[in-house]
Amino acid sequence: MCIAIPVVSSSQTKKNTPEELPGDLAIWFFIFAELLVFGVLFITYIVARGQNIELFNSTQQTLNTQLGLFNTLVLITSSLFVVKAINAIKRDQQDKSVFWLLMAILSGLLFVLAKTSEFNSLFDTGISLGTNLFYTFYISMTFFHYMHVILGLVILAAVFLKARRGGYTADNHIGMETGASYWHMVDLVWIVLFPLVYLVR
Amino acid sequence: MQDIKASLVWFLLVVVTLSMYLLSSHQYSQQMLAALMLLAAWFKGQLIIDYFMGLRRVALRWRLIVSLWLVIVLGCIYLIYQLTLV
Repeated sequence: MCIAIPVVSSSQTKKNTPEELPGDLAIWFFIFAELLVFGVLFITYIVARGQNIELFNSTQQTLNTQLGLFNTLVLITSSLFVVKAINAIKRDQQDKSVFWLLMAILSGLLFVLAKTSEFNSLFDTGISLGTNLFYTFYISMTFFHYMHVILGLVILAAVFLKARRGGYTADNHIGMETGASYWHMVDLVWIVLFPLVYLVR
Repeated sequence: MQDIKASLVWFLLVVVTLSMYLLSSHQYSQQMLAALMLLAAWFKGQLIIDYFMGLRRVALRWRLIVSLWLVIVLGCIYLIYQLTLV
């Protein structure tokens, strides 16, 4: 008797088998918790907006939307550089990986610089958390996100220093993926935050 | 190959971001624009989830957690936006 056994090549098996989550599992539980917090903040914002539409629309016009756009482009680009760093280390190209990590950190710093100057100019003109409900939400949400960007940069800097010492290889780069996953989460949150506070009227 | 794919995704993210920014300054119906902005945010967010976070290749349950977060948050924002229109 002849039994037909489907022939599956190793590359096919690899392609069809789901991979593990990139990075340490613990960072993903942290990411899920962070997403939940930001989600609640966003929904609270839109509820508050619904009760103060005139105020939110008029105050929104005072925001520097161009700076918001710049920050979006910078974060997206920084995320791309992190992806390139991971791809490079998977090919065991340590120097390239270090280079892209540095580019990602520099892009992230541009975000921090732009946001810091925006906060400074807001506070210089006398605007604060107590100015009105829109600014309470705007400053709280964007400052909370800004703190996450700074934490993300600290993590990326630690990954960069380890990478520079040759601490990651094609077979062992879980630490780099952990930092990368956190950085992409910061990017993902901004992708929702930007249209919500700057563009939706 | 992976780098080219990531760069294409980045290009798409930039194009959608710039398009939404340019559209936002026009005097179209704010309701329609809001829907378009949130739809664009979903599209960009899903690209980041799949290609930057790399969740396209992992078990569906993990991908669903982040993808559902995006859909639920943007869906709630749109629903509340519509319900609270004057």
